[in-house]
Amino acid sequence: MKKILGKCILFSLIFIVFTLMLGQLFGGTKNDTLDGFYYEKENTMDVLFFGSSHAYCGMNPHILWQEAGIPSYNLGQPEQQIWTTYYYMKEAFKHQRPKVVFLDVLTVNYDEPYRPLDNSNINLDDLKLNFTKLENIKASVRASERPYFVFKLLKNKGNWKHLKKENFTTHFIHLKHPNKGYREEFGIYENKKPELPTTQEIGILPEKVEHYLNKIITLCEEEGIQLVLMKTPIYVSEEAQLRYNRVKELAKNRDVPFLDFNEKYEELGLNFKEDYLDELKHLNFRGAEKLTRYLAGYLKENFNLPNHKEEQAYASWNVDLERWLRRDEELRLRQEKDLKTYLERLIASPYKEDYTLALTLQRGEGDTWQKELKEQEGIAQELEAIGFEGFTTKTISESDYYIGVIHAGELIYEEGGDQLLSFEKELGGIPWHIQFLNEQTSIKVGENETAKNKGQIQLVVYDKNVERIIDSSSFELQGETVKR
Amino acid sequence: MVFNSFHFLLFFPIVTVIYFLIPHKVRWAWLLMVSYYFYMCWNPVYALLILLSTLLTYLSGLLIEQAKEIKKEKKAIRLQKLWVILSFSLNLGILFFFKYFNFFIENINKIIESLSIQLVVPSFDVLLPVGISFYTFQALSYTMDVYRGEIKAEKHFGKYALFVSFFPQLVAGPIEKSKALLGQFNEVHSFEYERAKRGLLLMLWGLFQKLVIADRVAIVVNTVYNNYMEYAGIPVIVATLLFAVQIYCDFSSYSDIAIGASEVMGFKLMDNFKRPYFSKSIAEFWRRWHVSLGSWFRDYLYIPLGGSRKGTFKKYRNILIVFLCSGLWHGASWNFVIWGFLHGFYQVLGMSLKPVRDYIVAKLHIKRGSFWHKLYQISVVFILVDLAWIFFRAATFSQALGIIKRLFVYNPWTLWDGSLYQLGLDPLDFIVGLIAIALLLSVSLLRRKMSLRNWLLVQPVVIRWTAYFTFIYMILIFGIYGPGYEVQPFIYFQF
Repeated sequence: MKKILGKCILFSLIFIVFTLMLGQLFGGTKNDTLDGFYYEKENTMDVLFFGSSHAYCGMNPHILWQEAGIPSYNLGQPEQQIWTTYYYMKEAFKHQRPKVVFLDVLTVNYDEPYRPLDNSNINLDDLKLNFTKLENIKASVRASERPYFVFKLLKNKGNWKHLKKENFTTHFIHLKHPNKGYREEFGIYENKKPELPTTQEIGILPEKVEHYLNKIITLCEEEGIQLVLMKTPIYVSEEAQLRYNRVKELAKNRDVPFLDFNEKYEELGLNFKEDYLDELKHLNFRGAEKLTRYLAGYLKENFNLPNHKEEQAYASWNVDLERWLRRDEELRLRQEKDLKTYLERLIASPYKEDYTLALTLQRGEGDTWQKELKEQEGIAQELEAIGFEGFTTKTISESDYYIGVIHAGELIYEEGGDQLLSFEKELGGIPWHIQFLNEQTSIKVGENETAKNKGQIQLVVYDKNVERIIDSSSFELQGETVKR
Repeated sequence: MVFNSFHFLLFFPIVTVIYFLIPHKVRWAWLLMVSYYFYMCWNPVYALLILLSTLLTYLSGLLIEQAKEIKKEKKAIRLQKLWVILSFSLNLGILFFFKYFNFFIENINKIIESLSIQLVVPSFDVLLPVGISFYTFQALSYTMDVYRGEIKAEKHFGKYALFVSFFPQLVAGPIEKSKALLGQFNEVHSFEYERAKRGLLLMLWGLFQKLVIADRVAIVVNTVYNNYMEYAGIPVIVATLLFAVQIYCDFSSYSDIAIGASEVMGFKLMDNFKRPYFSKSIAEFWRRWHVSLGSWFRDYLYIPLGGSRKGTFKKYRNILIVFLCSGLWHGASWNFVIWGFLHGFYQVLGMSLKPVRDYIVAKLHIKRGSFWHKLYQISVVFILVDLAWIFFRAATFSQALGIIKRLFVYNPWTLWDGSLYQLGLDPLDFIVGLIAIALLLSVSLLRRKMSLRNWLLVQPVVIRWTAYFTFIYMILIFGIYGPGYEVQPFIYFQF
């Protein structure tokens, strides 16, 4: 009898282990921020950010590091409900001992009993399987679906049709997140400064929401962690404002600071035309920088957090910051709309020695504006300053075709003419091939090819440090200026 | 509770473990309790109904046996017949009310309407209690068995109630005869490891058939049959072929799980499906498909009517009656009656045409036992059965006719132009389905000559465990279940 029992137990164990492994293999795209969190070394973070997408778009750990040498991680998740956040915190505190934790309170609005399945997948699947995750599943998922979240295989088996290399390799390890959980957003939506509700009335939070908000506050108290509630600078409806007022009241009663950034537009130096990704909901990378800078100042002022910048253990953070700054420069370059300011930025860029620039022109029927570039305010100077010396000379500007290539700060090729020009050379180990086709210009760098219609000036910037094209744009005359 | 649910996966081990831990004396009580729990998970109220049928047939058994004691033979027989008639009419009456009342009223109304009489008989909104057709027949078999003296009346009400409600076969069969099952509750069962493994393997095979095959092909069948106006030709043929697969896998898988579950606990249930699509005649088909129902009708309707002993005309009449009833048993709709009638008609036609067939075989010097002739017979039977399935699956009679018409549209190119992948299954799913069906076919062919379970159970442990895990993961990975999939109930739950 014992032997039979032994066999059954062994069988069950093998079954459970194998099922969990297959569950990992069959998983969908990993939650990279959560995965990146597990990658980080234990007990290295002093600050953690929690909340919704507003959190993961709004706080950039690189900036916090830059300003104050404070290591932080952003654990914001899309449309996360506050009870899920509570268990996220419990899980996070097993791996990190932060001194300060910021919670974005947009989450008090997600009060439906259960999120749609896709959202639960993202929020829950990549948590490590332990009792905290089980409690999280219990709070966040309806009863009939809970077994599927405990044994992910049952939910994700449909992926058998879509298995890729990642399923067999990276699904079993943790990968570093390049921005410590922060999701850089690049787009710009031009907003106007909003008219926000001024009501001071205290609303009512749904029971489960308030219950978990209190639990979060208690948890941080017990762990000796300073909790700071915050609301990113976003549009709020009257109804939402009532809830936030209740949150403010609760925070006051429980002695928790509440930062309402809707009241701090000036302090942030917020630019409504530049700093938002969408209609007053998510900040883009510029807005995030401003918000994080403010938080850095706030932390310096109110807490005595050590500056780890010189520490050997945190050397990689400095490397990551350098990478971010380069990326920041790239994003700003890509946002430049005007050819003149574009060129100015290129000239001023601290990374321009690493860039390879290609400038091409294929004149369209009756296009004359390129000839008049000299008259365009300052563009001629910029072109010369950057190195395309011959672009505005008479011969070249009257030609139908032009190619100019600057590599490592030097003009290595410049040609203008009325026949189809082409350029083919290996630069820094990468083959470049520029040629003019019937209606288009083709610029091929390594495996990547961009093509633009004739009549436009095309600029391609390649950064050898990150080994890719960081921008490929066309400019043409629009009205009085040359723009994208 | 359904077999393909986490609930059952939790329920079954608990029930079985406790069954073997408690003393034999109280095991019947435990099984009775959990069987009623199992049933009440569907709808607690209808437990009263099954209790009623149980009570009625239990009493009939006692009364019949009491009547047997009467010295005056004529009176004894009259009284016994009375109890039998009462038992049958009351139980069938309950069945009629819950299942056929609305159908009956609808048709009455149609007749009244056609006679231009302004009257509408109101219908009831009655929910069909799950399994009522199955347990009613099972309970009635007891009345007949006592009457025929094939079994002694069961005095122990609890054990009798367990016979009617035994959870593995309560909801969709096999329909057990009391003489086969009732006595088993007095047997002392000890846990046998090999037997338990056999039972579990059968349950696993049932789950494979249900989740990987039946529910997968159901997607195609549903797409075409629920919207048949949009389809014609090859897709309709494919869907019809797949329905034959679906209904077989769906139904036989339920029986397999029932038989396997019982086997683990030491109970023996009858085989309900014996590779029916290998039948060489419709008559043989009905000896292999839903055997327990066929056997019930044979023993309690066909033979009492005289069977084949009262001449050819009566034989044909009896066959038609039995199959009409069988059709009706399946559902309160003309479609089912027509389906039943078709099967009766096939057999009658087949029998009357036998001289013609004999003549042709002799003239063409066809070897009757040859492989090709057998294959020919199997194909003919399969086509006849599949055509009849159209009436079974289509929602209405006119839809069934519509679908049959659409079978004969000429479009063989649809096999190549990807139309088959527009029916709900993409190429990968289709391939998995075909491979699974091929596996089913191989298993069926092998089972004619050997017991696969016995063969597997003597292989070395590494091979065995690899086979178990492969099977389990095939079900877990390729099964059609889970969030995002529509749960497919077992087809026979509506009967």
